[in-house]
Amino acid sequence: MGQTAVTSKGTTAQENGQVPGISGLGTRSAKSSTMVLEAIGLTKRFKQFVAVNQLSFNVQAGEVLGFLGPNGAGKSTTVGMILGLISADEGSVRIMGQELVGNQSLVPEHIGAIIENPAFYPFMSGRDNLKAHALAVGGVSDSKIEELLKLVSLNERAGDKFKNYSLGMKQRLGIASTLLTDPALVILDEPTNGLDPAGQREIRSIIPRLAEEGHSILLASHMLHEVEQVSDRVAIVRKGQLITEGNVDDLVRRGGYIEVMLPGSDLDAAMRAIRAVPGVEQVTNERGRLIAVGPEELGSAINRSLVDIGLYASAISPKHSSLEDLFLELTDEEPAA
Amino acid sequence: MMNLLRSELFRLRKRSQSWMLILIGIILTALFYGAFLIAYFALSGEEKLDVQDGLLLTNVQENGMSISLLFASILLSILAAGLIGSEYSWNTIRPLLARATSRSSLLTAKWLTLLIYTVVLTVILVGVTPTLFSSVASMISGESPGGSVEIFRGIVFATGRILLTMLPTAALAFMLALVTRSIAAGIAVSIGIGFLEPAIFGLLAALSDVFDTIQKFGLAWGSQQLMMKGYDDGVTNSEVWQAGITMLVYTVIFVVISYVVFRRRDVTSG
Repeated sequence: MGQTAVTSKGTTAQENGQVPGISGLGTRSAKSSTMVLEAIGLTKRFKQFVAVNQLSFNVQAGEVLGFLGPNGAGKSTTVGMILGLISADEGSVRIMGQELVGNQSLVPEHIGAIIENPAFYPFMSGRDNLKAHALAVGGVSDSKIEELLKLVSLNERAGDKFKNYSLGMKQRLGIASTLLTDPALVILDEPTNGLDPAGQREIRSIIPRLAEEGHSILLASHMLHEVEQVSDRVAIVRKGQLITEGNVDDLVRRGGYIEVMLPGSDLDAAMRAIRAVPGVEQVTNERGRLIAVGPEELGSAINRSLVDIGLYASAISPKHSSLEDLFLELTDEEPAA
Repeated sequence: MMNLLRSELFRLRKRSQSWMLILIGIILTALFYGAFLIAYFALSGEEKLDVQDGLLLTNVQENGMSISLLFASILLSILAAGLIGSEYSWNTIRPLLARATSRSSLLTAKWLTLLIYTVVLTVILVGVTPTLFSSVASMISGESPGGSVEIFRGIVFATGRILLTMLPTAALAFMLALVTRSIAAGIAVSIGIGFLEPAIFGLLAALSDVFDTIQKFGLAWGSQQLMMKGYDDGVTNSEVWQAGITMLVYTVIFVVISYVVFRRRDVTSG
């Protein structure tokens, strides 16, 4: 029964049937299935416009899934369908193995979500806002609210009205509200939208901690750097369709290359030698740097091939492409200004 | 659903608007009786006695209650429209729905909250406040308010009848704010209809008796009958019953429309 959730960057958090809550805030029973969320063939049309088209993906226990796509790709519509805010024309959503359509009560039970900007009642304090949410779901103690406020470092400003909070504080309150029921799945839709770099870093530091405590995270964003830093896997959507899905490391390695520095050498001969190495797909000369496209493990074989013809590289460096490179390649988007 | 109702009532309690509206209603009623007293002290002879007569509890329904009904219905429209419209303007509707076990339960919690507030507002503003100020003003004028069991029973029944007139007003404001996602639309139409309906039917009735009959199925006519019963002998019991049923039918229609729209509509923003 015990389930071990592999958290972001490969650490393990759950060793037995109980998943500890954040900072000992309580426990969440480990689930027998490792699949927390399954979206199967989701389709949504707004009149003639197909916002989401046969979209399928899943979120496994304890992982952070980056849900990437350019603006208008259908991310928020998909999140809306998962939360029951938007009806799906086709497909289904399963949370903890149970069908969500017609069973809306599963949402507050298993999912905590921030949808785009964190929205709370401006006339109430942060603490009262959490209390209002807690009352709506029931069974949340005042002490849990206090501990969550402490978790997101809002305990000293908890009595201030929400309307007086900075955007970063609002986001942190939003994260606290998602954890009220200790949900299996936390959905964060653009959680760093509009935040300054310090605020972004703060939110980014919270996300892996949530995963370490056993929460699965669906991180919908177009902030590629952010997603690459905290996600275990990514699903990239474009025009409502899934275009790729996989482990972050695998995806970025897919676009990797090896840079060879040979100052003062016969670069044409070097290129011929490198091209002959099995596994090298392409070699180009970029202003004196040779770029060999292929797996990073080929570095030693390339070095050997150069030595064999009497050339000695000053540096052979495997280079990863970034998630941004991959994203732009897959979505045909120009880099953001 | 009870959890959602608790949450709604918690927010209603925490919102200063809920208390401010009642306070405004009390102040306006106080000003009304204050104006009465000023007139009383400024006048003399028969006119002075007439004004003093208007301060008595026997006339509270005709004076204090009918004027406070006007304030109360406007104030209630503001709250009713805000109860759902604010969820859209503050973008809280989506997190709220994500916390709800179903859309129907969320809407039911909101309707019950509105019903509770309507009862409280009506009792305080239309029942208690005019009675209190009428008694105080009477005593200031040197006259006993003249309370009796029969008079108080009449006030209680009048408050009940006025509550019936408040229900469709609140329901209309709430339903329109929900359908249009606009607080302003809810307030404007629910208040505006109270002024426009009698004016329009008054004009049309001059053209044909048919409109005179149709008018008797309107909100304004029903409201008037329910309010006037007790001091206008021209209002018959059957007219009061018809008015009461009309008010309830309108309320049910507005409630049903809100459920139909709210349950079906995708919440893509707000």
